[in-house]
Amino acid sequence: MFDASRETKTICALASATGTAAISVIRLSGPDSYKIIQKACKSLSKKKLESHRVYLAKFSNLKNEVIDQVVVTAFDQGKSYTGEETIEISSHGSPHITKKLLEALVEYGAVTAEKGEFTYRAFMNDRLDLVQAEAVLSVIESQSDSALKMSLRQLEGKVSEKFQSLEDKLTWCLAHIEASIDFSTEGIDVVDPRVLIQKLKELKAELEVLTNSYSQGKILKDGIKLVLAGLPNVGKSSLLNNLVLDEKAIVTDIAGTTRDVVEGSTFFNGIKFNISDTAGLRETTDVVENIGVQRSLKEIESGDLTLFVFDSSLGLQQGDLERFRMVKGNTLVLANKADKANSEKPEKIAQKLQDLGGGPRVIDILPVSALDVKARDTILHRVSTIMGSEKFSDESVISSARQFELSNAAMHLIEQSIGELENQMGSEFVAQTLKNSLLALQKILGRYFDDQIMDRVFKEFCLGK
Amino acid sequence: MKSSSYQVIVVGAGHAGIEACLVPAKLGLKTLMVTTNTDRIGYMSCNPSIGGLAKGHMVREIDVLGGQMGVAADESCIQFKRLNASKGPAVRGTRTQNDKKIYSQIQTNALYNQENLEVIQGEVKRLILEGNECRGVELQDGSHIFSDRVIITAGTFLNGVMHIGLEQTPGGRVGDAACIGLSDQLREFGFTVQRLKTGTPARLHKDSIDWSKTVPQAGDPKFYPFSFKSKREFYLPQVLCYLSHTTEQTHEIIRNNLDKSPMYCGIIEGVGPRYCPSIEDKVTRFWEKPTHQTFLEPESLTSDLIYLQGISTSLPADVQDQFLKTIPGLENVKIVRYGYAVEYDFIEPTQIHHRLETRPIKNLFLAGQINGTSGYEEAAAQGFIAGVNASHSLLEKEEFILSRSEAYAGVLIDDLVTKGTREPYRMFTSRAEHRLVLREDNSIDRLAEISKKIGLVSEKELNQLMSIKDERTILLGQLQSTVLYPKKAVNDVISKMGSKPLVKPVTMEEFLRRPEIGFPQLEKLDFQFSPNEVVTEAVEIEVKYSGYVKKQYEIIEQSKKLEMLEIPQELVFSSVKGLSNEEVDKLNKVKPRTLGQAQRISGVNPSAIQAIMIYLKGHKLA
Repeated sequence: MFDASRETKTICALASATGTAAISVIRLSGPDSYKIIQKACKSLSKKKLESHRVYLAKFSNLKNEVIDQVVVTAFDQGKSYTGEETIEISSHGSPHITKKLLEALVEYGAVTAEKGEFTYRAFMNDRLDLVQAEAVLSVIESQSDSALKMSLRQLEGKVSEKFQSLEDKLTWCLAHIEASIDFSTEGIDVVDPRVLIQKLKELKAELEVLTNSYSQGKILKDGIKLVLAGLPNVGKSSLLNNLVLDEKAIVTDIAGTTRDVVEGSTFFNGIKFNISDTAGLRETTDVVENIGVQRSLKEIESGDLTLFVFDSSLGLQQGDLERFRMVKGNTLVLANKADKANSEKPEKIAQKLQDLGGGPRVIDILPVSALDVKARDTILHRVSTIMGSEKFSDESVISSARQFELSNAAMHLIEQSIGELENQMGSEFVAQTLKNSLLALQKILGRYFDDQIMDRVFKEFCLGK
Repeated sequence: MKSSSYQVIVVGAGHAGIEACLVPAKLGLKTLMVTTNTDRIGYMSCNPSIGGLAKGHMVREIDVLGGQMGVAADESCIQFKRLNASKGPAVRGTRTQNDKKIYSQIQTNALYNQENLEVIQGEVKRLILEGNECRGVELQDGSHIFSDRVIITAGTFLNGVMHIGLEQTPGGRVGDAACIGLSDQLREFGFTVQRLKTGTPARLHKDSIDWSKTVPQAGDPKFYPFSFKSKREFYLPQVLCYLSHTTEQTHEIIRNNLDKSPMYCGIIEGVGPRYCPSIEDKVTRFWEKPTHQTFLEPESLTSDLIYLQGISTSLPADVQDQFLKTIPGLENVKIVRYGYAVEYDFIEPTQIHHRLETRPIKNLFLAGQINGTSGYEEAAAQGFIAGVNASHSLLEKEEFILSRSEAYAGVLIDDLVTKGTREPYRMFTSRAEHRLVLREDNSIDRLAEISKKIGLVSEKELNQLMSIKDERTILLGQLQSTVLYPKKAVNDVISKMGSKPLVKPVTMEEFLRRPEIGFPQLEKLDFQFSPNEVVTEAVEIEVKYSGYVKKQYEIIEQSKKLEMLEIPQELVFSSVKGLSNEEVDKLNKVKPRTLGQAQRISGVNPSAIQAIMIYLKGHKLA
């Protein structure tokens, strides 16, 4: 994509999902789009194509064989998604037909688009800023109403506006510091440092809200990842099946049945939960099972929350405690088989875990029964409150790691500048710190050139966007 | 028709012209300076002072490189000030008030004593052109003088018109005629020529001022000269300046007479300096301010004239008489010369290369106000750089361009040729993005090696520069290798200084980073060093702010990637896809040398930089 030989090319790709469907859409963008479609559709060859109009036509390849009857939509340069002359071809939704159509377009002079190239061109033609370009990806990938709502807000430019307003405020502060340096001898009133500190504190608070929104954005975009861990044969696989409402894992009474990581997902109150069941954590001489244990530990590290499971009818055993110490991150302890009469009480469990000293941070201990249908609600509801996904706001939310890192950097630099002002450092040092903060904000929107950032934004795209 | 020939001709004897003609002459090239008035060489047409914030930086820079301005300013200094002394070290600026007669005399002598340099009085009417090459100049009397290079430093004289009230007189300065013809010739050749305006305040007779109503302002007792060659003690007796201010009454008189101001009734088309506004501007734009300060500055030890800083005006004489009398101390003032505005032609500077040669006409260099700048220091810096480049091109040496991370002079020229200007361009510290490393104190460290290459400073002076640089390096090394141990005796001394006792061994460098610690304190801890302030001050600053300075150097390194990526001059921007028509126009106008420069053109978006980069890489041009 970042390649000069492509810059004057007309690109094409399937814009709708692959596979059989009622219709499929192929997108063609670039200076020769109209010319190419007029070669393929003889009935259009003499017509002057008008923007935002649809044409019914027969599409033929170079050998003059008709491939399909299609609906063609034309978009003039400057009026399309990419900003270039664009054609959208709606065909019958057969993978065979779309493959032949694309082959024909290449014969007529188009080249196959690379990942994200349409959006990249939209950015290059100043149709989108970087935050909006990233939003395109989240819109396509959104799997729930709340995720879609968030992404659309980003695409509309609401989040860009927010960053823009932060940039304006920061520029105001910087301009006043600069004036206090360069006009110090001209008898012009300069801003009081206390006013400046106040403004910067407000700015920092606003950035803090945005950076904090990343955990929400990430959850909306990617869902919450839960990892089941614990001794073999304590009912983890049954819990997984219960949570995802499907028979994902094989359940037997034989310890060590689950050797690889088994994954499933489910929606609860509009939030996606990705749940993995790991091989039981135990020391073993079985080579295959041992690999499984290692994978489990890795999986636990990548999760948002660990669900540590044990058999409460047996009580917390020495083995459980040893495993528990291997777990990392925030942990919700699930005392399984709580319906059994002799099951251990949460207070006692808490005491034992505390006595252990070390191990992960325990958020709560929840008595459950893996086989009870109500267990799913109990667990996911508790997880939602822990992750804060119950009370998500409608405010501007960021969901890209890149935006998070840069806003976080900008925020810390503002914090640093406040310290510098309070310590009465030379104004030029404060100015330098604020300038670096401003640079981070400008990079978020792509208003400052940085080729690594461009690479990072566009490499995540799928074809046809 | 007479004819004679030179290697370099410099037109104009102002602050740019002086630097521009001394360089080729010192490098052994046969040089001629043509000026309309040999009695006004190095004349301070406006304020009698040199330096100031960001301007003082430039004076020091060209001084290290072998320029003249610093020496003349030091030797004619009658009041010295380090501005922003309470702020950080990067934004401190040296400023001198100068005896303008002595200043001019020093500069005149410098020219007349310079080998290979002739000075003649005459008015240049036209350039001698052959195709697109400049071959010399034609004077008013019709004589032709041929030369290989021509540097024009015409100041405010090109089609200059002076305004006092609604009265207009052709001229570039009171007492001097305008230069008519030259800018028309350039316009005909296809240059974009525009108008700017500047102004100067009234000059007052010192005996007519009631000084008791003003506040005396003394300079700093300690002298830090601009030039590394100067003595570190005052050459002349130091004088006071005096502070007064305008009143509501002043403002009322000005407001009631705005219809007689040429700027407000549309006679002056040229754009004035926003940063050095006339009193009419101040009263209108800052209408809510009840008063504006003004400094009364003596122009010379041996003259009766007082310069009224901050009150430049072009109102009619009778109005000036009226409003000046409302300023405390000026109730009975006698005005020797009224304030006036000057309107003049300048050449849109995006038409010149970084080396200050014009793009349309070869061998023709422009420097100073003709390029849209204001200020003596901005002019001198350009004059110097034009002088070096005109000489280098004759001596077949490489072109001389200072980068934005090396010098303010580099920022100045890059800004002019990249962004152009719509008002008289004045240098500010905030224009330099690498400000923290462009300090007055480290100008020697930054530029001594470059100075050696240019070869304008004598061997003795070069040794002086190099030894300052070396001493600084040695002292820094000493600080880094000397360790201070937390012994009781040491900590007792440290506590007495009001600093926290040590808990672990630290190097002297780390210890010096404490805000309350300086070299005098290190001395008490038996640190052996030679107490030469030229050395210690710079080292202390470098050490104290090393965190920031290091960060700045990192940023400079990062920016080099784009600064080094050259754009071939033959590149046709319209063939780069992804550029808007507006961007293509701007790029064509400026013809940036590098991608870094292209990025600084306003209105060229980051996506355009990406597009050009991809194009260059794809076509194997980068």
